Amino acid sequence: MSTLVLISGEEEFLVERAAREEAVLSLSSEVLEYDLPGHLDRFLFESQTFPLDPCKRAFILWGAKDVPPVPAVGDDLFIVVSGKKVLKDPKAARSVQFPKLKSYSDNNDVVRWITKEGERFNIDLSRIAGALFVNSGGSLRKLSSEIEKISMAVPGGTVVSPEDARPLMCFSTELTPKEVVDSVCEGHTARALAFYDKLQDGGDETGWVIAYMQRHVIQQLKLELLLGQKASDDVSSAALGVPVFVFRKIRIARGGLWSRPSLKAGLEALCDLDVAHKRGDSFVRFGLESEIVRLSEEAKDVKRR
Amino acid sequence: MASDQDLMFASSGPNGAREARDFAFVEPVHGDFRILAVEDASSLSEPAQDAYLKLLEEPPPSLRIVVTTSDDGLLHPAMRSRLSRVIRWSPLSVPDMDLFVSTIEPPDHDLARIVRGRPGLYSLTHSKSYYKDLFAFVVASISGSVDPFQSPVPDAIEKISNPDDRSVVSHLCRFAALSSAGRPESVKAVLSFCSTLSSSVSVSPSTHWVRAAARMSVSL
Repeated sequence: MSTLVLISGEEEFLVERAAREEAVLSLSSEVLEYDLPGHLDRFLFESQTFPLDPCKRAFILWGAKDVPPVPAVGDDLFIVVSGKKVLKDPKAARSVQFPKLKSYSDNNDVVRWITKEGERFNIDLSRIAGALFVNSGGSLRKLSSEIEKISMAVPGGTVVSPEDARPLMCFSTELTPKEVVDSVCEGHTARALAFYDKLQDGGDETGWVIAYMQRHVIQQLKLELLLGQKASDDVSSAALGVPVFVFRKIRIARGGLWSRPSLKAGLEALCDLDVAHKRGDSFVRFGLESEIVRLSEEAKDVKRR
Repeated sequence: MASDQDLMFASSGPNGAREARDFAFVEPVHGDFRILAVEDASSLSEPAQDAYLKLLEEPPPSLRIVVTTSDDGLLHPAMRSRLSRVIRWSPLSVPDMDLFVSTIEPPDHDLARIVRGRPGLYSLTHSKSYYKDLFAFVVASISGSVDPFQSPVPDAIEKISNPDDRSVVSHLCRFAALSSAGRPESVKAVLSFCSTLSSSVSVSPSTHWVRAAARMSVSL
């Protein structure tokens, strides 16, 4: 059955980012884009013509004033992007509307952190803090580099407006191993494997995924140790090298998902795979997949309980 | 004696063996021989060592190949078996090492004790305090007086940026492991780390140190 996603909002570039992210995360083989109303006929024709090779497609419709007819059969994804006007359709599978683009925990903490980072660089980011947050998907590393970039481009003391920021922003929606790790933590085994598969489309990214998972397993081991020692949030966040609010977020979402022996076994396996990968052994991919499955299934069991 | 044109130090890069072959099959410019030096061969990856096998097996008559390594046990067996003559350099005696130490200011006798009679290692580590800190930290980790998993990764490991650094760190950790009294599994963890560092040139030293630290940690 087709999926319909409605996106509307004031910030044009955030809407654009949200649409592209939805397309990437849907794991569609093909992304087709149309500017409405000019391309409406072409969209209607192509959306109702099914390819001989059955594959999932993502259709992005820019500048929609209304939801055009979309075929209910098939596995395609339709992303209808409007401007400020909020589109309402009772048939919509779900509706995404800025700023409630996705639910992140402790959003306000992140936004406050952005403003404070701005103060550190002597710029006022209050007008674009929300936009920066949504655009970076909550990734502090990305946020940090975006803020640094903006601080270098505007004079000190400036109140940064969306117009100042827009040409500087990075709209990358590329898939990273983060999606694999997030899926593992959520216990979505099939999704994690599908993301890993998708990453391989752009070349052999096994080394990147191994490195990301190693870092994740080490952080989890440290987290389990700190939780076992009942260390304070300040001490724990310093030990993990993250801000306190990030530590709280990690503790809630990921604390207790794996036992220490399981994480130690994971670290051993990933280090062995790392060495084997650097030596060019061909079994590494299967080894990594089996580690993804093991960790993901364990997380799923814990979440079920 | 070979002239400069007849001497080549093989590159440790991916094209090292190919360049060496090109050099090997050219007649000497001045004397009777050409000399090919392959330095620190154990730090080359297994495929890179394999690339020299043919040349080592059937070198042209006018070529002499000199392979150096800190430990011939670390060489790939196929390469080791093709070396026709192995010369082992013993560590310097204590008086000779003391004499060598006095040639580099300021003399560091603690470091001389750590490097166990190896003047090359002494020169590389001299006046870099983080190497001595690494040695002390590994000894303390093995003896159980610190928990390495809950401590930051030592600077000397974080700062590794070239094969020389790798080799130095690997040697120091090995000496520390062999001179410490501690749990056998901790010694094994450090030796395994040294082996990974020496044999896999592109793995992340920090990550593999954390693996060794997790094995040594009593709290995990």
